[in-house]
Amino acid sequence: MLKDFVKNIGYDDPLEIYLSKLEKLLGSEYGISKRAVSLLLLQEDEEIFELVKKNEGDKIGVISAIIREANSHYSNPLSYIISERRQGEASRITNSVMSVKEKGLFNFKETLSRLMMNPFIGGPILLAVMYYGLYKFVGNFGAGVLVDFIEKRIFDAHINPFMVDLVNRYLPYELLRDLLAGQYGIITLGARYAFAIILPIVATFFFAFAIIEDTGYLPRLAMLIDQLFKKIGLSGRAVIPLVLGLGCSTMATMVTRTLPTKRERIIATLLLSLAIPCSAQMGVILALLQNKPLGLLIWLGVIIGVFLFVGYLASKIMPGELPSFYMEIPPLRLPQLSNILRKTGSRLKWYLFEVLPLFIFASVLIWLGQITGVFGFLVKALEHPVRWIGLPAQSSVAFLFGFFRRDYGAAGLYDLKTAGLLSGNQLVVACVTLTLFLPCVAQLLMNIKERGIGVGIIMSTFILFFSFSVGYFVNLVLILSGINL
Amino acid sequence: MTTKPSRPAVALTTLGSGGKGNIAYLQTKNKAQMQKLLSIGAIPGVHITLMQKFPSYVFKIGHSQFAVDKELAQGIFVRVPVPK
Amino acid sequence: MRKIAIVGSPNVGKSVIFNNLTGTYADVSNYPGTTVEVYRGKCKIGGEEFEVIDTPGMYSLLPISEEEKVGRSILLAESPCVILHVVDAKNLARMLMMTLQLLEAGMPVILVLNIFDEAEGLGIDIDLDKLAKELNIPAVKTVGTTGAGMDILRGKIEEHVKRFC
Repeated sequence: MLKDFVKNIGYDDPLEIYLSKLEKLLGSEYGISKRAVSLLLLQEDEEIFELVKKNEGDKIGVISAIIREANSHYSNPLSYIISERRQGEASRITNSVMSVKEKGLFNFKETLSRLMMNPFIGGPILLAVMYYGLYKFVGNFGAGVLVDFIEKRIFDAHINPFMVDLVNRYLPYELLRDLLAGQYGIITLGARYAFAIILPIVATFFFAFAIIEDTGYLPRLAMLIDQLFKKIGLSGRAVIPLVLGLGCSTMATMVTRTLPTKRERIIATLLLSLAIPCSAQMGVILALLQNKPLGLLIWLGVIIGVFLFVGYLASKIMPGELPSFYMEIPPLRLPQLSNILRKTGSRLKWYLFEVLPLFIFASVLIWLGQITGVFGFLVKALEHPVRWIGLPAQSSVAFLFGFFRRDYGAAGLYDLKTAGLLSGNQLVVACVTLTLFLPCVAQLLMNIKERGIGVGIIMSTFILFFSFSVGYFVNLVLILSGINL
Repeated sequence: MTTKPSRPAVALTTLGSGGKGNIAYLQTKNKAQMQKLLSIGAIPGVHITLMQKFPSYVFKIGHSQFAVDKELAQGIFVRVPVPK
Repeated sequence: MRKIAIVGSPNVGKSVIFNNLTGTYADVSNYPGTTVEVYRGKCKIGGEEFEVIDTPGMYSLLPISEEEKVGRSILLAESPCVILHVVDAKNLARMLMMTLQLLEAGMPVILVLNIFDEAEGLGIDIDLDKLAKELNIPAVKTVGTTGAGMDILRGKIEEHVKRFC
């Protein structure tokens, strides 16, 4: 079958001679034409060289000599010469089959594209996207309308009473009843939060993200933000996992695989774990600070400041090559609904199977922790750092919860707020610290999986101490400046 | 890595926004960078239009647009047509 | 099960073509030993079932990134009986460079000129017959997002399989 398809382009004579020399030496079958193997060898492709070395045995010495000779014969790199020749042939063919009738000059898409790439207008556009996409759609619709519906109409009205009833009737042990349907029960709290709160928020985020993705906006954002990102050791490409992290940091950490260098991957993972709040968490924080716009601004300012500061430090400390930025800017396209639904569906499916079970498992851990007393012990231990940053001792439960599940932690704070136990200042300090605090259990596991256990532990330890330190300073600044929120 | 030019040409970064020309040669720090430029079609001979310089370099080749940082952009040398 | 591999640079609509062929169900898994995800699905053409592989975006057979390495490995290791080279029709000159590489290697290619609607919008017209003759392989124009051209593509795949696989 190879013979049926081979179509050769002629190269210049010296090159052709080297190619035929190599072809004669290649005895094995490679699955592709020997000419192609020779071309790759001449361009010093490492993988192909190793393959040839394995197959051709002692002929490799002669082969290497030919490669060296060919490369030194030309003043230009061979991949350059070969690409140039291919481009020439490709252009020749294209010119013979393609004709163009120049269309009109005004183009709406082109204009919009230019605006998006303009640094002065790009900023406001980003704010608009954040506002309508994140705040209004995910926040109000997802976190508001959908959550209310699923929580009240489905869980509160039907599932919870049904489960409590079922459990009381059939399960003899108090302990088991508690596990399933008690105050922190797997069904009554664990599953309820997972399906009624997190799932709708994350689903709406994925939907909005797919729309933004399909329009082609993200490469334009990457191009605007590259210089800034270079200062924190990343390239513009990192914008994709970082924005995804606003939806679910666990998934975003997985996406950091697409970043080209190890250094970028570690810095991005650190920033995702530390300073990028996921949608579930953001929803509740926005609810906590809703009547305190100044508090919200302070929270935002501190988070952004920490993001830039830690990123900057990390880029100074971490050795490794500086990232390069190159990215194709596709034309702006109108997103197709079928495509968006497919992407959202596949991300949701992943989330349902990879992340949610961990949260249910977290509920089991909490239950175990409570009955063994480990939980109580950890709560007491956390009271010290919590008081150090100016918060009441009772909030330590929220932080412990916050490790297992972000939503539990924020919800814990919400309960304290409604009970009037937190002053405005304390609320802001708590929100800041909780946002920076350890990644949720799903993300921690993903960190370890992607970056290794060593890096995972170092990161977590740093985050643990850093988050409380920032909390302390925010508290200090608020007290010293006499601000009372 | 350098390729030998046949006529004097200027770095893409010295052109103003809207500048056009044909790529004369590439000059990069290492092989990987050259591969990146070649792979996006920045090959000697092709016509290139510089669309933007700030905050990143954006150029058009054929009907496609690409964004690169200053370091990569500095490696592209262009021959600008002489005005009549 | 015989295999169909979809190859092409990023942003040409490969995954839409993949979805048009395989429907909604697709398996995602990491290519062994790497962190690169590869999508695989099934499609039925001319009564036969094929495995369809959506390879990661490749600009050239000389790989730069890990994604491109995996793309090449798939082509070398899995011997697909037909390779769909999906290209952006309006950038034919740049895209053909990869087609020529695939043909130099002797790979069984069908050229798919996708996003044809954007090319037409720019006033571009391409003589497909002439192109097919020049390259000695079938050339099909498609608009992945609407599904236009998919039937012709399936027909060409069937013809190809009958003759060569």
